[in-house]
Amino acid sequence: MDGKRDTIAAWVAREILPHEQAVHAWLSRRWRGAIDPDDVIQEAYCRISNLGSVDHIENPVGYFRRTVHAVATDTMRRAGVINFTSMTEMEWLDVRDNEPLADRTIEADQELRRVDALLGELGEVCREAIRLRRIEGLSQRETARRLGVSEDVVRNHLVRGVKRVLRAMADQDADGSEAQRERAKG
Amino acid sequence: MAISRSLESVADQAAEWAVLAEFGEMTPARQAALDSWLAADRRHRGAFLRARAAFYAVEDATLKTNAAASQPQCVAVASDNDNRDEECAAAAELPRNGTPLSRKVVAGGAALAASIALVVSMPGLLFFDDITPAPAPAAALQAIALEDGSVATLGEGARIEVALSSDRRRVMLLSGEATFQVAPEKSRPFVVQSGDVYAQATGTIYSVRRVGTAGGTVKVTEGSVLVWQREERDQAVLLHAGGELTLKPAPRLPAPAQTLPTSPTPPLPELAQFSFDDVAIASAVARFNRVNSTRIVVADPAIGDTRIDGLFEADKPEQFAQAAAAVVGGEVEYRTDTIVIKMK
Repeated sequence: MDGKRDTIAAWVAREILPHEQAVHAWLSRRWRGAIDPDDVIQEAYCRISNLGSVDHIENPVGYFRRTVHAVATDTMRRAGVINFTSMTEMEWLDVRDNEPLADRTIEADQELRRVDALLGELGEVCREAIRLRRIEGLSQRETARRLGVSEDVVRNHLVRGVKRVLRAMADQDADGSEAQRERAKG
Repeated sequence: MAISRSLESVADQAAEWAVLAEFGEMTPARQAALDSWLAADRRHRGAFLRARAAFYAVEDATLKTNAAASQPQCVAVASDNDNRDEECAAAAELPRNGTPLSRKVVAGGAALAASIALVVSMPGLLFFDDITPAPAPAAALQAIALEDGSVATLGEGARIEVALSSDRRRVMLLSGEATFQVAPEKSRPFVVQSGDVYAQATGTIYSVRRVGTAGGTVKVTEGSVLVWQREERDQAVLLHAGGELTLKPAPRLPAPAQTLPTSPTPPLPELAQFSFDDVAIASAVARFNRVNSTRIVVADPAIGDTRIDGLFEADKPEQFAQAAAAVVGGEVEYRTDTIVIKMK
């Protein structure tokens, strides 16, 4: 760690990640099991990771949705579903216009609150480690020493924290939205 | 579900790499191992990006909680850049053994979005920004050396956000007033943003003061500065030394859906930007080709049909081509006077 953040990852953390689950839910709803939302989102991140810069993207969530949509379309095309683009393009526009603005706002709001709650529950070791390292600028070894555990233990705690965030993003059951899952299957 | 399970394990591996890269010390051997993991499967790259972002989110939530819980003594001693870390290390001893840190993450739903206050690389600045919900003490003029050699002097209560990239230097003035002594660097414009007001220089001294929610006052001490509001860079005003300008743009309305003009547009002034909202790549390319000598060629009609959003500099077709290629999962090929967007 040299104290430098990867610009694109920081941008993703700030602009995309908080909305990932909403996009995930949308994918399941709209494509009704024709595609695997996890795969699609994964591929969308691959594409974003190829960007040289994100400075020019004014509407990040819009960009993310667009990319996700392009991935989904490609997937269908590759699977041999013919003339899919025009149909889904229509559907996409319908989606954007038909979903009431209020619903989307509430959805995004709930999403952010859920993520906040999750991050608030991070373990003490996690938080102390980050504090010592980022604020006090201690080395990894010194951080571990101050916490009285090994470096591996510190890292494992952090890895667990990151995994929890990642799982919560991908997992539809995390907030009990069973209904959405059912609809996705149907 | 076999696919999801394998995805999950990719995500798990990515989480470990992200923590190692962002928190641990990367030895050349570890870096090499990471590189080969990333090269092994294209999904790894996306998973790594996502895991890193999650790590930042975890980190920022923690720092935010910490800032809310700890006392602002650190800010009080922050006038000297050099010994700040030591001072704060001492001050920060308190919460470690004493009061438990507050577990609450910041009120309101937008906390995560607001939690990464800094895109920047400077630990000192990161710290300053994260700790400053309380206003800085009066008369605390603080000079901060930016990585490019520029110096930002922060007035009372001033907060800035710095993002230096390879092609531009951007500073967001969140509050207060700051003076910038810009290190000359023609290829990387230095732009200070105050709400919806922008001030750009390539090498000069000027100050920017935040006015209201969207405005700013720009005062030039030396050299000259280009000032504009919102996307109206083509209507920018050039301010010279001794000049001062206050712009107070009206609060933003929800952006109306942008439609492409069907009639040919007049030649665009220099420095203009294109804003695309749900526009077919083919139409966007046509707009770029009208104003640039370097032409963009779309190799596959399916790429041309894909729609794109974003704000792009009209005179940088290569930047647009890259973004478009990323959206469709394709790649860019540079030839003499043409840029080709094609599938891999």
